[in-house]
Amino acid sequence: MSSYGWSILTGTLMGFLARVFMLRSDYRRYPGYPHGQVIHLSLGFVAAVMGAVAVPALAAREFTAVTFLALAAQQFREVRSMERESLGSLEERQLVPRGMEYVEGIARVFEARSYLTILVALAASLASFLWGPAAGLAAGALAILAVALLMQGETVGQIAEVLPARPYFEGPVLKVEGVPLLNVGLQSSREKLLREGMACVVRPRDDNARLTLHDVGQRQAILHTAATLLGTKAEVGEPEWTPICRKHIDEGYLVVFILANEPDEECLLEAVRRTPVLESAQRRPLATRVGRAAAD
Amino acid sequence: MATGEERGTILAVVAETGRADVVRAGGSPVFLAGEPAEAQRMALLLARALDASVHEVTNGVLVVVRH
Repeated sequence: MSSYGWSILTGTLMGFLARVFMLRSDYRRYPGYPHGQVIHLSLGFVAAVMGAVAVPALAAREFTAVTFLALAAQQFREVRSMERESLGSLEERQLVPRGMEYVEGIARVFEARSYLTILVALAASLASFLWGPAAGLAAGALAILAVALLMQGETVGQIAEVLPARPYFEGPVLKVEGVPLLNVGLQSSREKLLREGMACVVRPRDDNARLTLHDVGQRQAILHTAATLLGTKAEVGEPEWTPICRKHIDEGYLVVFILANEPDEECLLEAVRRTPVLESAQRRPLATRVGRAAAD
Repeated sequence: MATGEERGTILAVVAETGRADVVRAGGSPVFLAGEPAEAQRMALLLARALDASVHEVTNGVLVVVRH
């Protein structure tokens, strides 16, 4: 086979592998979703081919072929709106929704993954073109590794300390660590909430984290993760079982309260810790002089 | 889930007869209950019928609110 052929082949292969690898890493967002995976793998294949042909096209002095990449970018933007629409329309009926911010984050990740696929394919095909197919495979593997390391977002557990806490009632008001959550009028509901409810405190490690946790979308993401991993007793028409997350307005920490199907406290802490920090929620006040001055 | 202007509406008030003096007429029906247990039961039934939640305003007075 010609060097062009090998270059395209290794580029496509490594690019596609990169997409498969990235699809594996988000099982939580797609439980039992085979058709969604087919969509993304197909698009990943297209992206891989595009990245792979760029180098041979340039080498053959077919410079116009590169405009293909611009076309691809347009296509992948549509992936983003497709994800946003399909997840967004499912949101309406969710008892514990992901929140628009989380959905937007997922949509953005899916668009970005297509570009990363192109980059991996490009790197593999370039190396293959210059130094042979073996080098192409190696470069592709390295690129996949780099992508995996660089694209790992932060989790709540990294920016905050998650500790167990006890819910209690002050009059009719359900509280956790001094934060009022809910006014419960029914005696029977109060007893159930105290008996089966679990709570935890999320203490930000610094002021950046504090402002990130302040974001309502971030809190919804925490609740969604906890409710997805532990189950929730939330029910249509019975609002008092819905999980809640509120901020202590003076101290800035969050409290999470959930009536879970699986009342295992350690699992609740773990679920909250592994919630991804949303890109749209990230704040960096400490990166500025004003923010640092205000912090002390 | 209610939407728009319905949010946070008091759909009904349940008061124990001894505490009826703290409630005045105005917009939502007021149910009077002879004893605390009856008030609790009425509030629960109203809440389930109306897809709403029960909150305590003061001793002996419950409101059924749609959020």
